[in-house]
Amino acid sequence: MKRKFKLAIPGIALFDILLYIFFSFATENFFSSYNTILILRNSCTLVIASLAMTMAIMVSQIDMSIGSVISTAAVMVALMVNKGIPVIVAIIAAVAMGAAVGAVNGILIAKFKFDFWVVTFSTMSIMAGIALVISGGETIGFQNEFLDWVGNGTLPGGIYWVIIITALITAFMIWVERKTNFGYNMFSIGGSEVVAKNSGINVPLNRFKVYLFSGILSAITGVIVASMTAAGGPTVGSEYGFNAMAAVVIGGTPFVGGKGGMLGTVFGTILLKILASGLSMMGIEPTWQKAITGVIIASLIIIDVLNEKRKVKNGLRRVYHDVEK
Amino acid sequence: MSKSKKNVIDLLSRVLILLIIMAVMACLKPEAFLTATNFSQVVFQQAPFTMLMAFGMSMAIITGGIDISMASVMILSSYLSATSFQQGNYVLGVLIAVAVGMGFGLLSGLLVSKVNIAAFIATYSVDFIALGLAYVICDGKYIYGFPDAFRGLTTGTLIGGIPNIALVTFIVFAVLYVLTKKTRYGRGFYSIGFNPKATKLSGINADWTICSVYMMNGLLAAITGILFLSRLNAADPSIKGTLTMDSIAAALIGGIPFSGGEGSVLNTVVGALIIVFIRNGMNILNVPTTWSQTVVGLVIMFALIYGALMDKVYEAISRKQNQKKALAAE
Repeated sequence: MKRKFKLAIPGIALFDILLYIFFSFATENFFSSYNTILILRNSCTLVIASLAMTMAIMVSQIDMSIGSVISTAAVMVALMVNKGIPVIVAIIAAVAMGAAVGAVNGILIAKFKFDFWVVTFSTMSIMAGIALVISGGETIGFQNEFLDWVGNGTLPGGIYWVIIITALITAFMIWVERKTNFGYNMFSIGGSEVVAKNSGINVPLNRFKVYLFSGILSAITGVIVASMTAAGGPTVGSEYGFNAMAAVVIGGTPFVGGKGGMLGTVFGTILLKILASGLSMMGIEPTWQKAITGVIIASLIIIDVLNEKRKVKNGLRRVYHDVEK
Repeated sequence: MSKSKKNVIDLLSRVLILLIIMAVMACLKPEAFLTATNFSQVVFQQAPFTMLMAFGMSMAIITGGIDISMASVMILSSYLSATSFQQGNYVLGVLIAVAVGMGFGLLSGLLVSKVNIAAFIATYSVDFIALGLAYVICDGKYIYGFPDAFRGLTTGTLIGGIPNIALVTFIVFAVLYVLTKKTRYGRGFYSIGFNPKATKLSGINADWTICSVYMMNGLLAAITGILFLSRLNAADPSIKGTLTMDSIAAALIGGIPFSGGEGSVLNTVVGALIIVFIRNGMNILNVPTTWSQTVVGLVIMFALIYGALMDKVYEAISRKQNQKKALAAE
């Protein structure tokens, strides 16, 4: 059988382009290669965090702890680099921290069957608190060549290395999602846990893996956030949770799970960043910007749930209709 | 073991946790902890805020949901009503606060019940909207300086040495207790939390009940907001802090299971006292305030694990009793 290679670009990409064109005409300085690269660069951290959130939402759960793992990882890297610890050790330590948080979440949720929301909420507040404690409530600046290269180094064409790194991570995650058993299992668990269980999928193990991945990816995000700003603050990650949820939902993975995918999430994230860039170019004040994006995000989330309901209803109608025939 | 007996034992075990915390504090720093001023400060001045918010959170959890938006709605309603209170226009102030609180409560209630969105997503969005609005309206300008009569709401006393704020909390507690224990409407909360489908099928207007719970939370948020205004003498959107986490932790450590359908406001009172005394103990022991979030998170996790363990224990006990009964019958 001949298999055609299919990238399966989701429809949300069209919205990205439309919004880009709209802002190109609406504001003067929006349409330039410099600004386009800047938008991509700004999306990088949120893309990786949203990939983590995609996995959790895919199995119809949520990982609230993403934001505070990001903060803790950023603070950890900053502190360790300042102490003179080799940067690679610092990065490994931060990622190990993320993996540990993910493992705790995973064990409590998958093995002991605690409610996912309240477990990740409690790890969220624990990690947010630890970020505050180890940083002493202050943003910690640092200097390091390697991290500076990761965050701010550019290729000759002006493209940032961080974009390449993000693209590689994204490609890897898309490969995991589309080509591995674990990826397929995520879809089936999200589609129907009972069916997945009955067809022999180890649901707890896959859930555990989801949270492990999610913790590691959030920690990587934290490292990149720190390297881009050359500083680690205890609250840098506080808004990533909500924004990642929004990016995932906009990208076509509904809260009920089992559908959508990582690529959609990437475009969802870029959509948010185009919106942010466009609004600031239109000269709208930061507080209003935040409120406008907040309202748009909140309404999109609600619309998503409504839309899924409608689909389910229509699906049922079709089934009954066919039966009547 | 009957359910009511189990509930009583569970509540007593939570009281025991509270007593252990107090005993530890009393051993570590008796001269600072074991004073009448410290106790009255904690119970009458600090606990009411946590309790009022935790009452609302408990109602939401009992119906099988959660309300994260309360803290932000509280901030928004207090900010919007602040100017009226400042001008001495109390009735208008209360009306604005209550309208804002109940309006946002209605919004999240409708989203949860009619639109059928998972409660934490719906209230998370509402939380974002309310806090965003508060920051936009505030725009860096803080309202401060309120008339003495208004300040008296928290500083003054009406009946024999009990501060007004404690009195308000007690009234709210009594109303909620009677509502959830003695009225048909209030018993509906439990049946919705226990089995929403069966509740709907048995003819209870579940949607309206859920909606009204979130509206009640909005009302509680408005009351708390007014009390906060009077206490802090300022309207400031950045007071949100760990209020949401505190109230969730209070409800859970008090013994209201996250799965819903069980527990009462009495549990919440015990839970809120545990949280407040932990805070107080940390203050006395000079633990930096940066630790508070971690501690609250750990309390939530402990509450989950403790609840699961206790459930196992009850199961084992009732199994043994059943075996005994079976033996006796033979």
